[in-house]
This record gives sequence, C-alpha cells and structure tokens, in this order.
Amino acid sequence: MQDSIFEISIFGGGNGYGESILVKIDKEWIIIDSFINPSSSLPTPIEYLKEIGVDLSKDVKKIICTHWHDDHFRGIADIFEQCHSADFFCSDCIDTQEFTNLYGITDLDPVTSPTKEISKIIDILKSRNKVFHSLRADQLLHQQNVKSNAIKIWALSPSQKSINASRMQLSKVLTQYSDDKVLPPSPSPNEASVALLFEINNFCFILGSDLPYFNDSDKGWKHVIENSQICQNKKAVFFKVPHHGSSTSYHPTIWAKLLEDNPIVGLTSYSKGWGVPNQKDINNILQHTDNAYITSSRSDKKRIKKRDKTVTNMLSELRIDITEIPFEFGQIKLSTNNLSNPIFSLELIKSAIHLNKYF
Amino acid sequence: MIMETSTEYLAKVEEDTKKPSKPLDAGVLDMPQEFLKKHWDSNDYHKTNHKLYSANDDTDLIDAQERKSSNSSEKLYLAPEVLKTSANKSIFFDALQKWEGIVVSVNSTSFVSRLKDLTNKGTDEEVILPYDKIDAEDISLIKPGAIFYLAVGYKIKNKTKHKASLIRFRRIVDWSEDEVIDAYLKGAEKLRAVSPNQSSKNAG
Repeated sequence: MQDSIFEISIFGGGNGYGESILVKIDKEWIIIDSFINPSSSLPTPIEYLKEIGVDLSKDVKKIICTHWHDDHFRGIADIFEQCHSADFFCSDCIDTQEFTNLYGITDLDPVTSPTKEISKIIDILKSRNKVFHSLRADQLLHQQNVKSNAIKIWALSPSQKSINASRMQLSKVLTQYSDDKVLPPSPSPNEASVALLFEINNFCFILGSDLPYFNDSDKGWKHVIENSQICQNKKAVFFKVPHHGSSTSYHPTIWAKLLEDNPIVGLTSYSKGWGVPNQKDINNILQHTDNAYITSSRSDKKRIKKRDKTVTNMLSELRIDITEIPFEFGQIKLSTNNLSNPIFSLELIKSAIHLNKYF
Repeated sequence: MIMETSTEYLAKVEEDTKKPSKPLDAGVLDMPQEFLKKHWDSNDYHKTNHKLYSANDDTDLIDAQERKSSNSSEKLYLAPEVLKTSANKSIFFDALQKWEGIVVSVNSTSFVSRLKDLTNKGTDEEVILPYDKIDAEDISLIKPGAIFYLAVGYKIKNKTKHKASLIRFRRIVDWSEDEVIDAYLKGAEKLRAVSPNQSSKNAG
C-alpha cells in the first residue's frame, strides 16, 4: 500500500539473520538497520522498497544504524550507496577515541564485517562531501510538517553514562583484538544503541533497538523514563520491543510510563546459540498487551540443506554434521492514510504471526 | 587441518606455515601470474601477508575463478579447486565444497560455528566441531568471532584419491608498535574526515 501516508514495517529473518525497520512519512522513507536475505544476497530493506516501486535515490532520506552488531548492520553500506539523497546516522559512540582506534586497527585486516561496512560508508560520505550524524539521548534528528501535521524524530539513547560504558568495553575489545586478532561478534554494548521516538501530532511510537534496562537512572530505559525531557507526558501507541523481547530489556515501568494501554508491539526473534524470546519473555509482553506480533515463529528444526550427493556422502563419512539455519522472513506492517486521526491497518506478511503462536 | 593424512605431510605444512613472509610467487601456490599482478600490488602485498595462513591454505590465494556478489561491488574470490603445496608438489587437495565459518560459542570439547557457503549461495549453516578435528596449532585460535575455512573434497597423493576435509583458521601476524600507532592515526584520520565534529571527542 504505497499510497499510505504513514507506514512502519518491521522485518526479521529469524535465527540471527537480523532485523530492520522501515518508516514512511508522506513520500519519504527512513531505513533503520539492515540484514541480508541469503537467497538474493541483497539487503532486505532494498528488496522491499524496490518491490513497491520506491525510487531509492530520491525517496530514502535517512539511514540509521542503531548499533554495530552483526544482526543490525549487514548490508547497510550497500543501502547507503544506493540511496543518494540519504543522510547517515549512528550512535554517538562512533565519535570516541576508543571507537576510532578499534576501527583503525581492525582496518589492518579488513575482513571484519563492521570495519568493512564503516570503511565503505566513509568512502561514500567523502564522495558526496557529506558527514555522518551521531546520535545521543534527547537529540532531535528530524522535524517537518506534513499536511499540517507536525512530525519530530528524537533519539532516546545512548546516555552519556552509556557512552562512557561503551568506551570502556571498546577499550577492552581493543586490547583483546591486539592480542588475539579476533573481533568478538558484539564489540560495543547494547546500551550504546539508539532507541528512537517518532512524534506525530498527538500520537507517537518508540523503536527500542536493543537498548537494555539497568537499575541505574543514568543508563538504558531507566534513564529514558526518569531523565528524558522528550518522553514527558507522551505515551506510544506502537513499540518495537527492544532486544527481541529479552528479559535484559524488560521492565514493567517501560510499559507503564512510556506506552499507551494495550499498545501494538512488534519484535523479531533471535536464536544464535540461545533463543529469545523465551516463554517467560513472551509472558512478560502479553501481560501488557493483546496486540503483540513477531516476525517469525520459533524454529529449532534441524534440517540438512540439499546439496550435491557426493558432498553429502562425504560429510557423512567424515562425520561432519552440518545443519541449515533456516531464514524465516517475516514483516509486520502498520500503516494509515490519516495522520490527524489515524486508524491503523495491520498486516502480517510471510512468517509474521501473533506472539502467542510463537511456540 | 587435513584429516586422513600423514604426520609427515602435516609436518611439511607446518614447516611452510612457519616460513618467513616472502613475496608471493608461483612457488607458494600455483597461481596464474596475471592474477597475482592484478590483485597483489606492492601495497597490498604487505596486507596480504598478514592474512596468509599456511602454504596450503586456500583462503586468499585464488585462481582464475571469481564471483561478484550481487549486492555490492565487492569481489569475492573463490579458492582454487586444486591446491598444491610448495613442499610437496605431489599432494593435492581437490575441494568440492567450501565454507567460511565464524565461531559462535566455545564448549569444553567442541565449538559451535555459523557457516557461509562459499560454493553455493543460500542460507547459513551450523556445525559443531570437536577439537580433535582441529590442528593442534589452531586450537588456541578458537574463540568467539574467530574465522576459519572448511572444505571437503579429495586429497590426492601419488595418484591416489582420499576423501578428506580441510579446516584452517585465519591467522594474522603480530603488528609492531609502530604499525599499531599508525593504524590508530589512520583510523582517526578517516573517521575525522567525515565527522561533523572534525576531531574525535573524548580523546584520551
């Protein structure tokens, strides 16, 4: 429904492939995070936008990488390359000495994914004579009026204390990388991620990225609840549940203070070594809302990929047990044609389901 | 590690691994000279050496096969189908299928890895490999985030074919202090060029 004036779509690949979010306001698009469809090797946001006829070079205005974890950034530089009129946004942690040092040293061996993505983004920015935009708590990153509707987009995180914590972790990773030459899959902490608030007239929605909850008023969701000037007297009708519904990002006060009663919520699953959401996480969410959706069901089926028979037999004889990690693509799409008095239309596409059907 | 192989062969591979870096030539692997000229200029050479694993490693040493990933301009070069060592030209590894793996988690007797199929496109795969399938010298490299290459195919020795697998972990040589400082400076310079603040905040 490209004609809608507003759309938010959450895409998930399940099983550690990643998550991405697209937001359409009037005719302009914002891409938040990216992952790759393994069948096409293309970033999923690009596939979707091309499919619905969006002119990538003109209509995508913002690309936001909430944090540099591999289920959020894969393909983001390729997206940026194709979206000529877009600005690039990321967490303010990029602007620290520790981040630049880690970037510099991993660039000696540019096989590491975040380094390759960052290098490509730097090259594109240079060629366009542009700079990146770094985001931190309570920062306004966009405002406009669409048919007399005031729209503002705010960053809710990271806080200064989380940026400091990120610097400490990056410093440890830097030492480890210098010794071992191995970059851990999650070099910067989740608390460095950028949660976003979209304010449109009298309704708003929150995209929680992977931001955790700490019992500390200066970090994570507690900082947002207790210190954010932006969230005062605002409650979101839609919530992208942070960190795949994990208990590390859950606290009842988030639901009580930041969200409307019975909000529409969407999340993606993650099972790479461990699985979230688990049953307890799901119970946590469903006690606050009936309108909870997830991009795919739990998939723990072990299956072997079809391949050349000789190779299959050889793997069997060599006792190498390789199983496929299924790509479970799903999309949760919420849209409306009226920003003044919005009536939302919800679509669950491909593997997306109600959360109570997850197990 | 090539399984189903002799200790003599492994010793030769190990010997090759420990050889000091030297300019790439056809003696390391039977590489087309045109390819080497095209893809390893003098600047790249230094960097490439950081990534050499051993003389029989197939990760960055490539024959004429190459493919272009459809989502980027980045070229992914496939390993040669037939590898030869300089130590013993009569031993070949004919790879039928290759994967790039990243270690996800480490247990006491095995480790879990996520694999990308380098031969065919498609979904990722998972493998649990016991340590006894790994070369002793590679054990210390098994950490979350570590990258390795897995291939299955035939080891051909004296015209005899044996089914075999090959697992090699990515190795990077130690950097000097000057190289590290230079890398920090270059990283800062590159990011500063596109930073709205022009110089990194919180510098320390």
